[in-house]
Amino acid sequence: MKKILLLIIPLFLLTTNNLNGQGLSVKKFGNKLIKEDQAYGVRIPNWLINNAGKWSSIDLEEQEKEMIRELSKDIKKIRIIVASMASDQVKEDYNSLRTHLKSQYDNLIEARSEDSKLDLWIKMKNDEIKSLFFSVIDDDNSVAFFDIKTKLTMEKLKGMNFFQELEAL
Amino acid sequence: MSFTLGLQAQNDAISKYFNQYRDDDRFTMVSINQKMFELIANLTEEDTDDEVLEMLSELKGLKILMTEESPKSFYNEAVAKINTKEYEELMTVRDKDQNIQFLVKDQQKGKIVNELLLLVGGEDEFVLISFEGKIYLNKLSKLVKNLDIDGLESLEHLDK
Repeated sequence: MKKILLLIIPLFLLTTNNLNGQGLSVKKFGNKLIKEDQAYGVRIPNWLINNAGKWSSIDLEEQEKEMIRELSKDIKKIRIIVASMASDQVKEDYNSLRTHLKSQYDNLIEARSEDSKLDLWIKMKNDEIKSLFFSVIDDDNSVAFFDIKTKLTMEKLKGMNFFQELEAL
Repeated sequence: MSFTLGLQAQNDAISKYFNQYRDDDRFTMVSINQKMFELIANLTEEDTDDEVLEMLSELKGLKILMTEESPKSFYNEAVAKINTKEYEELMTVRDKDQNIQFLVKDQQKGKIVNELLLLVGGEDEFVLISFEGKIYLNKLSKLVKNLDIDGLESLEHLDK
């Protein structure tokens, strides 16, 4: 019995691990992309986003300041990576990332024009937006990648005054 | 059962045609999915027309394909591959430069349709637009104006 259990448990772990790990995760894709020669990235943690929200530039309109202040409270972190003329591996990784996104996220918008492809994905848990992922990839393997982790709820978004004000314009 | 299978086959024909060119450099492609419409409906003002809100939340998808290369041949190919006889013709606009066909499926009392297919073929461009979901025809042009997406201008003809 012990032998059977010893055989079954690793098999079970292997299977569940494979199921969860279909394709490259956003984090792994980002970690690979940043290693490209001409890649630049920035991670903005929650405390910095909050402070940026509080200090929002005096050049902005009052409505824009309010938008930044309200949004910044519920954004946990932002990761941005821009890579120009990345290696061909990026396209393979991007396809692998899409496999992952298809299993974990909802695709909101997909668009392509001439040599650029744009994707917007969202991951929600009940009413809460857990993650927003936006990418643009060009035929020359230039990539822009935005990964935003949030705790924004639809209820809160709907209640934000600036949305109503923007719609009224 | 056979009716459902027939509808599915037709949707597959559009998807197949769309997928054939979605990665083709000659085409501009846009695909907006149900979740996006649900989000827009959620974030829209409460005093917005109820039918527009209902329509937004019940739209299942919008697909657009556009090209300026060999538009006539792509138009003819689309008409041949997508069996347009399965649709009811809502309106056709024809002038010396282009044809615009508005095709609908599953009309309910002439006001609501479950699928709207727009085909534009002319000297300058070929456009295929496919709306899926519960579509209120009388509210569509208003919605299109609100969405402000390039390529959807032809749908404003429905106002006339």
